[in-house]
Amino acid sequence: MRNPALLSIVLTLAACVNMTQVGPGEVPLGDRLVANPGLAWNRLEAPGMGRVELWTRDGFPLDTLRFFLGIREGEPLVEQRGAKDKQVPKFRAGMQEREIVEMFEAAAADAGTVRIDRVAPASFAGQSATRFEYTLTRKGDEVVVKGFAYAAVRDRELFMAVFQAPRIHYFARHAEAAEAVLRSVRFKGAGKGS
Amino acid sequence: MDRRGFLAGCCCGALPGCLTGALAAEGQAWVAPPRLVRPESGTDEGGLWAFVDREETKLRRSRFVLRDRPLNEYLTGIACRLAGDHCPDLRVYVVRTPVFNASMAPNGMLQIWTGLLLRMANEAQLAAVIGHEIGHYLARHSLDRLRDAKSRSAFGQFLGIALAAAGAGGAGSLAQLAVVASAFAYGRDHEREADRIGQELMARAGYDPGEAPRVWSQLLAEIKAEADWVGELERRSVLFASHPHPEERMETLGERATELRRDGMGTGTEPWRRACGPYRKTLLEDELRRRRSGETLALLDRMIAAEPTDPELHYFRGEAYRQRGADGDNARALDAYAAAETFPAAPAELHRGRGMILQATGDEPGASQAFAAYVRLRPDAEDAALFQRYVNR
Repeated sequence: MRNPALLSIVLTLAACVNMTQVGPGEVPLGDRLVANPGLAWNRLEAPGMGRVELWTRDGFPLDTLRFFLGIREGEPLVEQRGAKDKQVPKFRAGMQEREIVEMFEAAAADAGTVRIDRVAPASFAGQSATRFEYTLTRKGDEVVVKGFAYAAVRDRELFMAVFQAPRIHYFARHAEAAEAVLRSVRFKGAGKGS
Repeated sequence: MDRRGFLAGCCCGALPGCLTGALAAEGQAWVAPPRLVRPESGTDEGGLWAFVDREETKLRRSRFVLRDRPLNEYLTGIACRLAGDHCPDLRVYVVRTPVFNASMAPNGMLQIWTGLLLRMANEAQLAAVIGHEIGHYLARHSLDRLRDAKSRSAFGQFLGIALAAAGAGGAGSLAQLAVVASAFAYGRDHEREADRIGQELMARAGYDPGEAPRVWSQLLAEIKAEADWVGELERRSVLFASHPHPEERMETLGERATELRRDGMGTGTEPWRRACGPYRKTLLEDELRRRRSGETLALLDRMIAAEPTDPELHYFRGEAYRQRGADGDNARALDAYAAAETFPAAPAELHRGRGMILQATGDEPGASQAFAAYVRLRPDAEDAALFQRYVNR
């Protein structure tokens, strides 16, 4: 369950969810990455999140910074309720950059109407990566959100980070801080300039 | 889920619904009822309308409604040809959701989903589906449902679900729609009656009634193709549990088509293509993102059979194979891109698809060449920068 709103509701009800302040300063991201945010963020801590981390500045319905920390061969980006196995695209280590974006598109299309606005080469956590931007009209609440993401493959695993917020007000308010966090991400043991 | 959802709407109506026009005994002409008047607010039917009115208010504001005037006027025109005197009571909403569905609420709110538009080959096919929905409306089947309900509270719950599904969030409520389909679908008699009225309306409007059974056979072919692909066949039995057997419906519609067919009836294929053409690329992109490869490929095969020289359709077939990625799909995709390229005005994106396959199969020079063609033809593409990098290597 990687829908942050739903996840936070469910887990709050179950009284086993925690929001922890992270940053400013060095913050571990899963086992293998480290970020160095210049500002304080809130991190959702809950059981069953697997290799996903959710951060927010103003709260989850408003802005979400989502980290996928090592999607492995054969795993989907998100689980799609009601879909059969063959109807859900899975990560392959040999996937091309545009295919990773297509995998994201299929997952996003499950949540609404999505448009990819830009895809370009980039660097993420010291790896050759892809950066893309998108616009999504969510079918649940009909809010138009904008987002951007970085995706890189290392050791046959996908590392991806996605920032998303409503197009009105919240995207502009936090996009720069989110970019700064993502620029600071590196693999443990790697030098800052790597 | 999607399939059950669309059947809920297409074949039962998301909001069960409603009539008074006498459906004459077999063999006699059906007489349309007079225009429906807004029921008194204190009645059960009045409550039903009030409920649906609120949903329509939300739908009217929905971001998922396509508001382009020419398309809306065109579709309203088709609905009006079918509805005749009831035309002023209908309001058409085109909802951007890549699922086969149409539904008509008792107050005259008629929803047409874009997945349905994409799948109809001509005006007559759309008329078959809309005619069926208008049949439920004219026959006031939803009121029967309301009064038949053993428990009012159960029906209230049903309404909540049905209206959430049919309403503004509409697009987001496919799962709920499926619940409605399984728990509160119209009965078989209502479906048969709506089939009959719909086909009569089609014929009266001058549409070839033989397109009605064709809608069903197309649909079944898609469902079967998807079931074959995902390796699951039992969906069909769940799907049609509350309906007459699709084969029976097809057969009945086919027989009646023979009786109803007259000289001069048409399918309206050319005006349909002209009106829907500008939206087709977007709707096919939405279709691809569903990742229902079986359905999508069956749909594209059918579209290509009807328009074999349309390069865009061959391109999308290539994309469907490339994204499916089963054994032999790379070769099928390359064939489809090559077919697209033989026609004028082929989409530049075919070069991107070809490059991606060539790169995956280790043909770096071929991939670079294809990517170069793509960025040369579409320097403004959203992903041009990504492929420019390969060209520069």
